[in-house]
Amino acid sequence: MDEPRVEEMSLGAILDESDAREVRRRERPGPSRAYRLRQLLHPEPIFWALFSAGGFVAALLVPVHVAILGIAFAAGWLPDDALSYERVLHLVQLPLVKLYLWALVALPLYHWAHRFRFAIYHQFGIVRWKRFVAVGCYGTAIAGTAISAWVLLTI
Amino acid sequence: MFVAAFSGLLLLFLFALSRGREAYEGFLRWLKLPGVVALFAVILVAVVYHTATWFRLTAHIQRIRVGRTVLPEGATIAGLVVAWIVASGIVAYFHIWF
Repeated sequence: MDEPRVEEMSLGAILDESDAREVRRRERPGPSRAYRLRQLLHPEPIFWALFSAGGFVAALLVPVHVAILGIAFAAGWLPDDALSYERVLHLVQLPLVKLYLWALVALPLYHWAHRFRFAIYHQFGIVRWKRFVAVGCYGTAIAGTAISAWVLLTI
Repeated sequence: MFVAAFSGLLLLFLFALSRGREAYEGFLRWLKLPGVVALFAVILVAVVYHTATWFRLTAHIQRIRVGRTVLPEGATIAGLVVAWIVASGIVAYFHIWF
């Protein structure tokens, strides 16, 4: 059977036909309230974000700090007063430097926590005590964050 | 692992600084012990390796598009390396000469 050509149809007929062809979306029940609440309280994405931020800090900023503090200082490549008490104290007392150091200490800890947690599963093959491992890893990072904040505030 | 070790060492450094001149200077003497320097050397190698893998991973995940063309991964890595050198330079300036 030949369908009528579009040019020969009236606008009303075209709209009617288009309505008749439309596949209606099936109504699906949304996730339950309890499920959504669990999702909200689930901290996984936060730890992923901190892992990523920590990875970037570790990649971009940590090498130069290790080189200066650990190698160049001991080798005597730095000027004499570079790490003198007065100079470093003055520098660390600046609020922006404190904020920077807080991020420099804390963010890589979250990177370690996330990485180490999954290394325990996948690389060491320890699949039991999941919750304990997670709490231990992230707990260490959170404790490090709190301790570094406290130390920086007392300087 | 090694990144977290550095976080711990930096925390000790700041803790020593917060305890006054004597504690701080004691920490600096500790930094000069051969074993400690060796530990830092191991950390440095591990961290630079981390930087290399991280940049490669970032370039792989984050495709940068300019108009219609997608930059090759090499260009993204080059950009990251430049950013790394600039950031290191800024840190070194503040750490040593500021």
